[in-house]
Amino acid sequence: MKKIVLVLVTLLVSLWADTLWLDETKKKKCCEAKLGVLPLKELSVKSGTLQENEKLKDLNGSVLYIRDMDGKIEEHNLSGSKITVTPQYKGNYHLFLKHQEVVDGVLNVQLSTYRFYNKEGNLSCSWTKEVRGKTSDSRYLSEPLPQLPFQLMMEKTIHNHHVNCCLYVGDIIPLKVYYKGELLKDVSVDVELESGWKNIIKSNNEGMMMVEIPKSTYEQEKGDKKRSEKLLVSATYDVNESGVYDGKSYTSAHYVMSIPLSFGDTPLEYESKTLAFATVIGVMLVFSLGLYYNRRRKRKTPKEIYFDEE
Amino acid sequence: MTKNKFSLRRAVNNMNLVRFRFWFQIVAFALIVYGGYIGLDLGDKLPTFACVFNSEGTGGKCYVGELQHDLKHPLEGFVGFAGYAFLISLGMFAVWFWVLNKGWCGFVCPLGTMQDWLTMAREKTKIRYSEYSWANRGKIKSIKYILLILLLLLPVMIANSVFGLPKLPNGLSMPFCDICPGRMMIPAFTGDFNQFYIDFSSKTDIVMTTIGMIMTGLFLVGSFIKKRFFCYFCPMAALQYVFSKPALLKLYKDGSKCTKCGDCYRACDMDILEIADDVTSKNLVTEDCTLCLKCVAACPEDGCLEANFMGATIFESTKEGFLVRMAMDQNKENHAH
Repeated sequence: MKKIVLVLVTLLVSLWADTLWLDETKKKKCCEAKLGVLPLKELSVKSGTLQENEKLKDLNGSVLYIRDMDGKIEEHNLSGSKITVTPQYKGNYHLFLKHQEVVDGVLNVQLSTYRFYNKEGNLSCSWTKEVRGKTSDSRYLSEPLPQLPFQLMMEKTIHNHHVNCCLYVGDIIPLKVYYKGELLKDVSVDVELESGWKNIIKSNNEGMMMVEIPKSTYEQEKGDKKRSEKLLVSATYDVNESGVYDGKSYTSAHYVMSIPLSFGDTPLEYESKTLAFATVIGVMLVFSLGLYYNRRRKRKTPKEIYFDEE
Repeated sequence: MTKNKFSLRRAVNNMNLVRFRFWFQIVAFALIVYGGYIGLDLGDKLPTFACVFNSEGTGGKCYVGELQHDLKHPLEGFVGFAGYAFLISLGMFAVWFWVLNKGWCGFVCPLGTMQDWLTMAREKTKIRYSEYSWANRGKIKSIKYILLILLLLLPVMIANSVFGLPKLPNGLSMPFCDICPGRMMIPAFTGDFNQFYIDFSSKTDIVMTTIGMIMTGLFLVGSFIKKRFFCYFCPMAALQYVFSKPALLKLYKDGSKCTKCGDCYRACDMDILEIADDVTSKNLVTEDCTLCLKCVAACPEDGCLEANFMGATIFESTKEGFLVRMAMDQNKENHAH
């Protein structure tokens, strides 16, 4: 038992240590882009945990796949230390980073995905989309990207508050892991928060992992509408497969994929549903009673006149 | 061929409009409220309350939400992408609207359909309906224009200082959506009651979300006792009326054939007096008209009222149609007894 725990802990530490993730360097405000200037997104690649990490300075050999809301995939070979993306259209973009190398006969494949919503497009090529007013492109992918052999996929979150656009404390994130297009059923994901909280979530019989974003116990963080914290989920998979990559042969492969996310404090901290229902019902009662008495008063008036005349 | 064409027109003119409209509204309601589940996406510039807060099910999105969102930008942003996107959106809204004119309200609007269902429920329970008094009607009509001005002005004042006034808090970014009963009622039809909440995070949010709940309560009771209760206040109706003149679908009246019997006025859910009184105007689509065509169905004069699409008559009043519908109503009453 001790051995298993030791192996798990060692594995966990080693896995967190080699997790790569994409991070947006500077979030621009809406409507900053001028006519004729393409909207620009700058990202960097970080290695390590959310608390202790370093920015990768050389991205040579890494590949970036950009999937737009129409499912069109672009492939870019990376170099330098930062990633620059110029999205053409308004809508959801999914980025996938792939970095692989052979070390000691093991093929290490490090993957990461990042989604952003582009608020402004290039008008000269996106005006037809603006006319169309496409609204149903999803934040969630329906199927794994064919270019990635291993993929951690996030599905629509489960929540019980009124905001649909973002992630909040208490939301449940369903995750699935795919290897070469096949759903893996006996897997787990590592979950890590910027504040240091960590956990391992195992899959159920159908291969689904449900990650509930934990509630902060820090008093100063409660009820702050603008508070934002990072969350990193990652999955690993080891498989015996042999081959040659970049002139080096390998006998096994180690896959790791991460999804960096941001979340805020739950709106349920500062909203009341009970009071809302009570208000609706109260207004209905008061309005109905008001009408009832008003009608009764109006109906009685002619009768009184009639009896007066008699 | 000529005989067939004549028969089709006669069949249309003699149709049971109440039943046709009932089923048309059900189909439109299903597409607007549940269309998203089957991948329907009519865009985000619809001139009807296809609620954006019904995130999963909506088959399109209401333009009023988009309009408020677009206006929240700093004015300098309007010389860039935001400005062009705003013009494109407004243009698309107008194009959508011109197809059906106010028929969007009478046949498509899910909030209007809900009101009609509540009216039907009242009729079943035999509870007497209410009317706005003539003294208050003018004031009530102006509310929708006040709401329209506010929903246009408040988002602009969030990102810009208008007339030197301080900028408004972000909680007013979608002021009409905050108070629109559709935000609560439409998602509720998909089982999502999460829009029923009062937000205590700021004074603005407390006020706006509380007004939203009050409006929902008023909507439910008001629509039960007054036909199309909310349509009198609807800022979408005011916005639509601005674009109404060039629309393709029109309600025409031939004043020379009108006997001022008042049947059209009595049939009108919106109590529009002009429909009976005005014998000089040709186009009778007024600010409150929902183009439900009940007036056409109720008119006993041949060709006095007609629904006209791009110059072609699609439904007109006829003596025969009037008598057929009278007989239908009589049969219905006999069955009820």
